[in-house]
Amino acid sequence: MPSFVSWVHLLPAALEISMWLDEKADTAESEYLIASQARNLMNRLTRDLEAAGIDIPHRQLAHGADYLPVFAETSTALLARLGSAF
Amino acid sequence: MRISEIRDKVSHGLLDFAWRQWAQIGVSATVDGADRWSVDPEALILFTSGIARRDPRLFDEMLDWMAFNHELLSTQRLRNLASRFPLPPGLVAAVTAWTRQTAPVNLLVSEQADPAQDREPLFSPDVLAFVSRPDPTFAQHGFIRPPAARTGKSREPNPALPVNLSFRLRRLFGPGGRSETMRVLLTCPDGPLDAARIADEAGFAKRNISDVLASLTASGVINATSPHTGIDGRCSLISPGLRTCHPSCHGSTCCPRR
Repeated sequence: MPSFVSWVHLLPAALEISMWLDEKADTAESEYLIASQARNLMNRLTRDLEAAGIDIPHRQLAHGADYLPVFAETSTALLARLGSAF
Repeated sequence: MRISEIRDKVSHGLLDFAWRQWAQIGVSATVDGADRWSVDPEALILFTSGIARRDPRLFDEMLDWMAFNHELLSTQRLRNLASRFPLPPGLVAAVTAWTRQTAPVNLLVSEQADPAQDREPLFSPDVLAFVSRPDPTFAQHGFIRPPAARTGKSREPNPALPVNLSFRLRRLFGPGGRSETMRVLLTCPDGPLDAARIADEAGFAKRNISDVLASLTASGVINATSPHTGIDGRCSLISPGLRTCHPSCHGSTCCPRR
């Protein structure tokens, strides 16, 4: 029997992250501001990502622009989830 | 890592994932290996409708597959799940309307649609900058894209592949709440499950799923801990043997999560 993936939680979150990245990739906003928005985005998507079995790094001490590596780590975990059973 | 680097990595990874899923369910594309999960057709369509705005070829192969395999899809479920996805208003309606057209392959191009100034480009300007002649169906729903034509390359999903369990169940029960309930009960490792959880994963209203659970309980296929047949209680399949209904299943050797 194939394994279970909660696609109805995982795929909307993945698309939202991708669309947000498209919007922010060419922006002139500061790293600090982008990192803050990335944190807000992840706070909003945490429930869906966790429902889909993705471990979210909870590093509340990653202040300011230091959050971007945490965001990158979560994005990598997301991609790994989408390829892990392959 | 810069945000543009993260964007490139995520965008490439998600498009690669989408192509891999579509190739396994019947789109003309070559992939190595096979996934061991079961795809969710409507969730994949909604996801691809957004992500393939950076890949027109994937978008059009999705349209071709949908037109060819429309009887395996649930419009109601597509509508139910659409609100969970960050898609612009009208896009799902445009995709659905286009795939419902009955014209034969390669004859869906209009010669008469007028370019409009206030419509949104369907594809990213990075991949398609200019549209001289818009597709009339997408234009009606507020999107500018070149005329879309069936590629004619799509096939039916191969029911022998584990990834296509959803389609096998839809052939058995029809594309509705019953087949989705069975997919969740067969594959989800968290069971027994209550009606709310099944409805959430199945993409149908709890009331619909409660009716399905009542019917399945009466048939003896599932066991419900509540006399109200799953409305407040938890449900599980009665016979673990049902889990071996898939031709590719060889028991514990291919079901590592159980």
